[in-house]
Amino acid sequence: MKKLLLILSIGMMLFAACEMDYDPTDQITPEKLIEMPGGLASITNGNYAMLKDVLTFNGQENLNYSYLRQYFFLTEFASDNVVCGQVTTDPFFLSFSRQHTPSQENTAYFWYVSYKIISATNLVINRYERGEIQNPSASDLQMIGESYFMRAFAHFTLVNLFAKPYTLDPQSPGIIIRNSDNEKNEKARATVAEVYDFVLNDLRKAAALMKPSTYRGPGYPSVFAADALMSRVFLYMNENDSVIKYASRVIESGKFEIESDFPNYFANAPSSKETIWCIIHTIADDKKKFGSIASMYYSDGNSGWGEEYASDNLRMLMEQNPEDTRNQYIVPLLDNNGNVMRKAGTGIKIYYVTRFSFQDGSPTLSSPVMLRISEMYLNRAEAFAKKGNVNEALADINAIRERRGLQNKLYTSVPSGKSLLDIVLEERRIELAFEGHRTFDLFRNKRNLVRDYWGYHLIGLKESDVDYSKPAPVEIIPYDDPRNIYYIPENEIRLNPLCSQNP
Amino acid sequence: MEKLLQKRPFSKLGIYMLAMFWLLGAPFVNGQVIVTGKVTGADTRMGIPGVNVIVKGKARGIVTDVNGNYKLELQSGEEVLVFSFVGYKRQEVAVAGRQIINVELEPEITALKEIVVMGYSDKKKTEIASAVSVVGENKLRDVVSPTLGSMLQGKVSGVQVVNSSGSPGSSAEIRIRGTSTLNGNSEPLYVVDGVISGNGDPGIDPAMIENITILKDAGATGLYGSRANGGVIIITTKKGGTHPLIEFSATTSLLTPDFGKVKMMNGAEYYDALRGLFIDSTGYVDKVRYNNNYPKALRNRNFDWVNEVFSPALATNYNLSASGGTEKLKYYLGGSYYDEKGTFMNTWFRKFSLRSNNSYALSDAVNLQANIDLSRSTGRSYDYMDMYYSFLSSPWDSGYTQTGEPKYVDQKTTGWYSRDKINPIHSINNADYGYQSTSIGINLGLQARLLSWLNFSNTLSLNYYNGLSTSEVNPSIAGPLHNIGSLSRLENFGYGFLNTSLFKFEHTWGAHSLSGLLGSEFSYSYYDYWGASAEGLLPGFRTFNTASRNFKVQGAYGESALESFLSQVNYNYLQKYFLTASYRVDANSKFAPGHKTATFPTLSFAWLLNQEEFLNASKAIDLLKARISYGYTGNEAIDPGKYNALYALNSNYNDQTGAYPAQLPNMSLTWEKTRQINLGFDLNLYKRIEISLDLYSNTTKDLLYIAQQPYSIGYEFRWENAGKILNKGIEFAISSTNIKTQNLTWTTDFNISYNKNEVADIDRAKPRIVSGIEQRLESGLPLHAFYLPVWVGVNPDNGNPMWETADGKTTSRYANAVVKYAGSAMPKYYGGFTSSLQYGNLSFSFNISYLGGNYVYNRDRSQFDSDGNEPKMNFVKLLDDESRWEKPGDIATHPRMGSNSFSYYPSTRFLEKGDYLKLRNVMISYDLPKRWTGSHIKGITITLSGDNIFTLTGYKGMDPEATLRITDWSLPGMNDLKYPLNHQYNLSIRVKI
Repeated sequence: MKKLLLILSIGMMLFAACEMDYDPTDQITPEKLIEMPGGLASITNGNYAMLKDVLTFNGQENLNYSYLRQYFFLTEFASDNVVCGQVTTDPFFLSFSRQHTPSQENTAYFWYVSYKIISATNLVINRYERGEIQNPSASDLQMIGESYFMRAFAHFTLVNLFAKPYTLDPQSPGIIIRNSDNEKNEKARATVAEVYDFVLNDLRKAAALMKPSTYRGPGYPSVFAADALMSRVFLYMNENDSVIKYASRVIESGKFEIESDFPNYFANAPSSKETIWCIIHTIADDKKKFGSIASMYYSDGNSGWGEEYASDNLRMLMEQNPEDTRNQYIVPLLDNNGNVMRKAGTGIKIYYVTRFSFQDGSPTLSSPVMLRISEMYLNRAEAFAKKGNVNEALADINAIRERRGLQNKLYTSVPSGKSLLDIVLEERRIELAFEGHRTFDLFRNKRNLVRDYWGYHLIGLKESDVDYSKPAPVEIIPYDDPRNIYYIPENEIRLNPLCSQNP
Repeated sequence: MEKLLQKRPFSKLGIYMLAMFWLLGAPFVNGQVIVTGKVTGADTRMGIPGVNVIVKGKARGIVTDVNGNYKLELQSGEEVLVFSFVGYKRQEVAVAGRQIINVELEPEITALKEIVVMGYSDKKKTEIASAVSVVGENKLRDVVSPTLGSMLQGKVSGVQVVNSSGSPGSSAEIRIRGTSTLNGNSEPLYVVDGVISGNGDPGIDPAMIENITILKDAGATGLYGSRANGGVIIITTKKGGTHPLIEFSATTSLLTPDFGKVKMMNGAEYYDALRGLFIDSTGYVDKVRYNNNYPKALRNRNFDWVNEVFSPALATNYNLSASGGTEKLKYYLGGSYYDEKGTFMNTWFRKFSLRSNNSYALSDAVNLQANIDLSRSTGRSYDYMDMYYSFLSSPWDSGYTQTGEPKYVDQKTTGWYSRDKINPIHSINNADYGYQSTSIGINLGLQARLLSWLNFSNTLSLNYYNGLSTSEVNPSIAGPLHNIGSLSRLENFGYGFLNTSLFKFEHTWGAHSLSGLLGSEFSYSYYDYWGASAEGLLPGFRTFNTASRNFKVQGAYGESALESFLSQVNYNYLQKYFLTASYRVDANSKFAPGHKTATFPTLSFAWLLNQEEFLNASKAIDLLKARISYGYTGNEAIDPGKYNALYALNSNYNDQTGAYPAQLPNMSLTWEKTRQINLGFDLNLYKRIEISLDLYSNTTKDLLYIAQQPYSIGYEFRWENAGKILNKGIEFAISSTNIKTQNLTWTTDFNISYNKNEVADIDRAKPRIVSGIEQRLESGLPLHAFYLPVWVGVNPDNGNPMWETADGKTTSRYANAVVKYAGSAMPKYYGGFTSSLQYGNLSFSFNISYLGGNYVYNRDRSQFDSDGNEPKMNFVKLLDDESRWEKPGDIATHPRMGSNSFSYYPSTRFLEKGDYLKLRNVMISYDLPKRWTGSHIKGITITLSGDNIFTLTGYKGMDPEATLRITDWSLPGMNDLKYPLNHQYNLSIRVKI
C-alpha cells in the first residue's frame, strides 16, 4: 500500500505538460503574415482600416480618435469654411482657437497613426526592394504599388500639417522620413523639399507598379490615384506643367467623370464615377454620434452633436448663386417660423454641413473622399491660371460649374475686380469645401486667412456677446503665421532628440 | 578536523548536533527505570512532537519525537515528570512505578497554540519567522458585504483597502505594503483552502470563511514565487467538526447614498448663481441682460435630479449551513443568497453560492478531500453618462411628464434648459446594462502518510467560469439609437486546472526538529471570449434573432501555463531558534523563450526570546519573538504574448481582413522581481496584550513597463523590464483585552502602517493622461505622481483665475501655466481601530479606519462647477469656506462666473488631500438567553449594525476613497463620478442549532 502510494506520488510530481509556448489567436508575427496566402492583401487593407478605425492610443480607445476624423478636422476647422458653435474640451477646438500645444492629443494621434501606416508599408516595400517577395503576381504588384502610394500619402499629409508650405520655404524642416521597417528611434526631420522628393519618388513607383488592369475600384489606391495625388503634390510646389500633365492623365483616362447629381454624390461616393479614391465605410463602420465626422457637423435631433457649422463667410460667397447645387450641403436648422435657430447657450446660427452624411440613409455615415475628378480639373485650372492660360483655366472651371446647376453662369472671361487665380481659388473653395483643402490652398498661394464672423474661435466669447446685427470682430491671419501649422507632438521631441520643434 | 570545523559557519551547530546524538544514544549506566509513552493533544488526539518531558526538580529531560513518543530513563527518586509544550497546559504526572505513561495535554486557551494556515504548510504561531496576520471570522464579520475586501478595511496592518465604488456587489481593492508594479496586477494572490486561485478576489462568500491569513513578507510569500509580489491572502473555508451544527443567518440592510459634501443647487440657487455671468471684471452687474436672459419665473422651477435618480435601497442576505461528521467523515454544506438593490436607479446585484467541503479518512494514513464551490451572480450596471446627467441636468428641467412618465427629450425638444437635451431618467429606463457570471470549482485532495516522517499530498483543482455582460437598448430611447435600439452581448469563459504535489517531512531528534516540503505544481488555463452586437430591435425584444441589422462579432481565445518546483526547509532548535528556507522555480509560458524561468529563494529566522532563561522567569512576557526574513517574489501578471513582434488581425476594410502593426518585439521580456527584507517583533504580555512591529524594505526591479517610443516609428511603446519601485515601511499593531471578567470583556485593536513608495531608474515611461489629468512616472517620486498646472487662486482685482508660470509669476492664460509635480495617489499611512465590549449576552463594537498622506484628484468638483462656462448645466453648492468673486477686492476661492473658459480645466485646484477617518462600522448584538431559546437551539444572536456611518475628511467631494486601479478610463487617485458609497444599516439574526 505504502509502496503504491510512493510510486503514485512520485508519478504525480512528474506530471507536467511540456508545451509552454502559445501563439496568440488574433495576432501574428510579421514574418509569418507576409508569407501566408492573403497576407500581403491583409497588410495592404490594414492601411485603409487604420484610416477609419479607432486605434488604441494612450491606453484608450477614444472613439473620437480616428485618422480621418482628425484629417478632416485638423484641416478644415483651422479654415474660414467652418464656424465653431461652442467651446469644447475636444482638442479639435484648438484648431479653431489656434491655441495649439505640443501635447494636444489629436495631433499626436494623427502623427502616430500616420507613422503606423508608414511602418506597415515599409514591411512590404523593404521586402519587395530586397527581392524577398518571390515571383510577385500582377495583383501582388498592385498591393506593393498601393503600399508605395500610402507611404507617399501619409508623408505628404504630415508635411502639410506639420511643416511650412513648400512654396514658402522648401528648405525649412519638414517631417521625419521613415523608409525602413527597422528604423532607429532617433532621426531628424528632413527638409520640406526632401519630403516632397521622397513623396514624388514613391508615387512614381506606385504608378509604375499598379496597372489599369489591376484597378480594384475607388475604394483602393490605383494608378489613377497615384497620378491624381502627383498632380496635387506638384500643385503645392507650383510645378504647373507637371500639374497639367498628371491631372490630364487622370482626366483623359476615361475612368472618371464629374458627377452631375452632386447633391447625392457624397452619400454614394463609392459608386460614383467622380471618385478617384475614397475610404469605404460599411454600415459596421458607422461611428454614429460618438466618433463620426458627421456628428460634429449635423444632427437630425438624435444622430450627432451638431456643433460646427458652415461659416457666414463661406455661405455669403455661395449664396450669390442660390441655384448652385453645392448649397444643398448646407442645411439651416429652422424653427417653426422658418427662422434659422441658434445654438442653445452659445447663440451661433445653425447651418449644418451634410457632406459626411446619408450613406445607406445614416445621418452619420459616409465614405470620405480623398481624391476626386473635380479636383483634377481644379488643379489643372490653377496651373493654367498661373501660366496665364485663361481659356484653358476657365474651361476647366466651367466643366465643373456646368454640373453644379450653374449652366447659366459659366465664365466667359475673368470678372472685373478679380484675378483669374481669384476665381479659380473661389471655385476650388466652394467645390472642395469641408474636404480638407482650404488652408493649404490659401497659405501656399501666400493668401491670408480672414475670419470675420461670430464664432467661438473668438477667445472668451459669450452668448450675450453674439449679435448678428453687428459685424463680428475680424481676424486676419497672415499666411506665414507660425500657428498655421501644428506643433510636432511632444512625445516625438522628448523621445527622439534629433527631431526639432516648430516655432 | 578542528580547523575544518572552525572554517565552516555551521560548525557550532554541528557540535550541538553531535552532542544531541550522544545524549540520545548514550545509555545511562545507573538507569533503573525506562519510561515510555505518547503525548497527545486533547483537542486533536494526535501525537504532539517536540513536547518537553522533564524530570521535576532536575534539569534533565527529553523532547517527544514526530509522533509524540518519548522514552526516558529515570533514576531512583525521580518521581514526577513535567510535560510542557507551547499552547498546551503544563502537566505534572507522578510516575508511580509505571513504565508506560501516556499523557493527554489540554490545550491552553491562548493565541499561542494557534495553527496558522500558510497555504502550502501550516505553522504554529510561535514558529513563524515572517510577517503574517490572521483575521478570524469574528473580527471579519461586523461589516455586511458580499465580498471579503471591504471587511478587511482598517483591520490588518500593512493592508490598504479601497472601497472605490458603492455599486451593488462591487469588491474593494486591496494593496499589501504599497504597490510594486506599474502595469501588472497589483492585487494580492488569493489561496483558498491551499489552492491558488489567482490575483484578485475569488468571490468566496464571507459567510463561509473560517479565517484568513495575510502573508506580507517574502519569508512567507516566497513560496508563491512569481505571483506573490502583491502579498498573499490565504482563505480557509469552514469545515465540519465532529458535532452536527446547523447555522442560519438572515440580514436586511437599508442603504442610502453617501454624497459627502456634494449638494447640487436647487432651481432658485441655480438661478441666483447665474447672475454671476452678468458681472464684469469691474464688478458691474448687468441686471437688464440677466433678467432678459433668465426670466424671474425660472427661479420657481425645481426638479431635484439627484434625489429622483438615487433613492434608499434594500439588501438582504441569507446563509444556511450544515456541518458535522464522524471520526472518519466530515462534511460542511453551506448556501447563501445575497440580493442588493443599488441606490442608483435600475442597478442591482444578486448572488447565490453553494459550497461543500468534505473529507474522509480512508485509513490512519490516508485522508481524502472533495470540495465543491458553485456560485452564480447577476447584476445590473449603469452608464457613466446617465450618472453624469443625473448630477448635472438643470433643475429647471423635469425628468417626468405631467402624467409621471419619463420625458422623451432630443435635439429638437424646445423648452429644455440643460445643455445636451438628454433626459437621464428616460435613458436609464430604456437601457439595461446587465452582467452575470457562473463559476464552478472542484478541489480533490489526498494526503497520505508514507513513512513515519514523510507525508505526501496531492491537490487537483479544476475550475470553470462563464461571464456575460449585456447591453440592451430599447428603440424608444432618445439619441442615436432612437427608433433603432441595440443589443450587445460579450461572453467570456474559461477553464483551468492546478495540480500541486507535495512531499512533507518532519523529523525531530532531541532538541532539533527539521521539517519541510518538496513539491511540484502545474497549472494551465484556457480563456475564450466572444461578443456580438446588432441593431434594429422591436420594442421589448432582446434577442439577436429579432435584430435586423448591423451585426458585428468579435472573439479570440488563448492559453497559458505555469510549471513550478517548490521546496521549503524548517529547522528549529529547542523551540527557540527557527530557521526557514524556501526555494521556488517558476516557468511561465507568458515570457520569451530563454526567459521563461525564474527562481525565488527566501531565508527567514525567528528567535523566541521568551524561551531564553533570562526571560523565562518573567511572568509578564508570554511571548517575545524577533524575526528577520529575506527573499524574492515576483509578478507575472501581464497578458500573454507580449514579447513577439505582432500584427493584429482584428480589423477589416471593405469586408476584407486587415492587419496592422500591433507590437514591437522584446525577446528578453521577463518577470518583475521583488527583493524583500523584513524585520519584526512580536510581544505578548500578561495573556492580554499582543503587539507586533514590522519594518520592511522591498525593492522591485525589472518592472514590466511600457517604454514609450517616439510615435514616428509607428508604435507607442514596447514592453520592457526596467526601473525599480521601492516600498519601505513600518507596521505596528496592538491588540489588548483591557477588561476580562466573567461577565465583561473589553478588547481593543489598533494598527497603523506607514509606507514610503518611490520609483527609481525610470525614464521614457509613458505618462498616463485620462480626461486631461496627467500622472507621470519619475525617478525619486512615488507612483501615480500627478503633474498639473499650478493653481494660484483668484485675482482679487478682476476675478480671473490665476495659474503659476514657469518663471514663478502668475498668469490668467491657462496655456502659459507651468505643469509641476503636485502629489501622489499613494497614501503614506493607513490603519484602523476596533473596540469591542461584551457584557453578558450583549456585545458592542465599533471599527474605525483611516488613511492619509495621499492626494485625490476631485474631478467631480471640476465637472460640477464649470465657473459658469457651462451655464446650461447645474452647479454644486459652494461650501462654507468657499466663495465666488463678485466685485474688486473680493478674496474668493472661485473665479468670476464665465471669466475664463479654462478655469475648470485640470489643475492643482482640484487636487485635494485624501486624508480621512471613517467610522466604518458600529455593531450591537445580543445573544438570546438559553432559557428563551430552549435546549435544542445552541444560540440565537440578533445584531444591529451600521456600515460607513461617518467620514471625517477635508476632501470636498463625495468620498475621499479613490480607485488605485489602472484601466482605460480611470486614473489611480482620481474620483470621477464613482458610484457613491452607501451608508448601510443592518439588522441580522443568526441561529445555531
